[in-house]
Amino acid sequence: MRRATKTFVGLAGLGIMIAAAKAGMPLPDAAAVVTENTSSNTATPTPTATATATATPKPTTTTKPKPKPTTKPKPTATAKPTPPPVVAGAVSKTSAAINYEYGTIQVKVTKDAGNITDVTYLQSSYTRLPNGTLTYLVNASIQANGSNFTKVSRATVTTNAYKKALESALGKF
Amino acid sequence: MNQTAPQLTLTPPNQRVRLGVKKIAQLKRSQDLLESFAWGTVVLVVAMFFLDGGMAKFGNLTDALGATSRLTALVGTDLLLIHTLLVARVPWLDKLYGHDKVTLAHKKLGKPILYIISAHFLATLIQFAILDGKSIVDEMVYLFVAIPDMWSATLGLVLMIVVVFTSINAARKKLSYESWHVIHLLAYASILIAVPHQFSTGSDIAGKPLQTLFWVTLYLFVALNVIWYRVLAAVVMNLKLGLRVTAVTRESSDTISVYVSGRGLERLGGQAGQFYMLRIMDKENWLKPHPFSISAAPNNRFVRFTIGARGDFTKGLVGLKVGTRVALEGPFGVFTEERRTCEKVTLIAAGVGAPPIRALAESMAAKPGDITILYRVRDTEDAALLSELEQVSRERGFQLHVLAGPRGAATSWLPGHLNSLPDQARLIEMAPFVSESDVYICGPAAWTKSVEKTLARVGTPAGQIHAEEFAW
Repeated sequence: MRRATKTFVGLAGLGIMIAAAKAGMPLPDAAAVVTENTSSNTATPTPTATATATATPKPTTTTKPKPKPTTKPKPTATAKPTPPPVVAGAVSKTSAAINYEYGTIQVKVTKDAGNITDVTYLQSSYTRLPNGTLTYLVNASIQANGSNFTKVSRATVTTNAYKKALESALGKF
Repeated sequence: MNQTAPQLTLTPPNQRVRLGVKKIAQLKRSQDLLESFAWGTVVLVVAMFFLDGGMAKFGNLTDALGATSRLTALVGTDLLLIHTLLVARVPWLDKLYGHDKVTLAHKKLGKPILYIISAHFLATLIQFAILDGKSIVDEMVYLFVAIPDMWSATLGLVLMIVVVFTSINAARKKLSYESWHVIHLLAYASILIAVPHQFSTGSDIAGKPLQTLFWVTLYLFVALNVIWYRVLAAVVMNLKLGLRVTAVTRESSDTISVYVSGRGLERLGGQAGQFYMLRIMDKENWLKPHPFSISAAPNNRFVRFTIGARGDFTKGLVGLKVGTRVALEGPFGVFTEERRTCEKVTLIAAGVGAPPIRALAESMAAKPGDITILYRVRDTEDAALLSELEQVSRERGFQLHVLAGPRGAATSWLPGHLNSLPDQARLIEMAPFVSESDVYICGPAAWTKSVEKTLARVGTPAGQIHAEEFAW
């Protein structure tokens, strides 16, 4: 390569990589924004709560899934009393057993008034997983109220199998 | 051995060569474009990794190890594919750089790639061991058992290490070319068995359509180039040509010429100054290709190789029978008129370097006096192709200087008995236009270096000096 080309290609390559690194960073940024939003929600719980309450009769149906699992003391304290009154809401469905490369996953999903409230493993055989993967998957699906969450690094295949199981259960509601 | 050579009739010179520096600028542009593209793929894989949030994953030790493992895997694989392409003998690379430069680039890349891939292996292993709280050895055993593609990936790395170690100069000297080559072929196996784990477990490819597309394209591109140019093209061409030895003649006490002929020789498409890989298609030799330059301008009657009988293989060629099947791969090299920029040309040969110079002299179009040939030999009585060079010079009006005699001073490329003047003075005396001519040099490596030094002193621009290293 001639020197001028080398310099140009080198600088352009460096620029592209830096730009990509910058563009790739919003992932944690976005997460930070999300937590900020939820914390602001929790900071001013009453106005949003009343607003949603007036919009629809049941407060739990419209509250977006995100505030719910944040285990901040205040909102959970106010949210917790609400589910019991809606007795008919809590329904559980069992997914198909998903056989995948490293094992089998079958889950039981509990939904209450449109929101996932609990996921339990009926079957979860696997050859190897990073610590805490299974717990993460449950929490993530409750938080996302579905299967739209980021995968666990080093557990891509298991994450995909779990999502499949989850979707199969959700399809039965 | 006693067969008579075909009557020597000179092939008319090639009239269609463009001179001037414009084509060199074009060549440089194509080279830059191609190299930028190659480095671009490296930038692209790193950028894709970063876009995926790679930078954010350097938070703690295990995450950093994981990110390192992914990054080294991506860059290492990309370079490995380029590395493989460089040795596929693809004509479009050969035309731009010449077989020698491409092979040298391949050699240079070998070790860094091994380091990068080893770093990937170690980073992955240590990360997993820390996460699972196991010792490195336990973790390795566990990985082999638990993850299906892991043992094959590791075996791939082991093969790679073997291939690189046997290619280090010290080891290379102890191995015969044939056994080194067989070991080197393991490199293809190492790549093939390491492929699955990238697509099944690689966090950067598995389940990502864009990345999968990129990598599949890259793999297919390299694989098709290797399969077609390295194997199939040569097989198809040789089946069509059905080449056989038509004559073997003695040129000097240790040089012979082998004439090869077949159906439709013009399809070979070689140029003067290029070389072919020659295979004698009998039981012992068909797996051992050897590179030889053609020693007569391409024509439709025969391909001629003039070979110094120095090694085991070349000595065996003396007894080659007429009618023996041979196969050719090629043509290779840019030691041709394609690189000529000037009206005037100086051709400089020493000993076994004579064949391509002899072919170039026959095929170059020039006015009488525009080409000067210097031929360095030990003994005029025993110089291969000398009579032919004399004939070419006589018919075309070129000047031929035969420089006979034993070696002079260690740094001199001229015979000792003319030592009264420095090399550059004697060069200008023999070839007055040398600084404004294209110079083609062919001879032993050290001797060629010494000629190049002299040329630098007399002021021939580096772009006008053409020499090919015998790297293969």
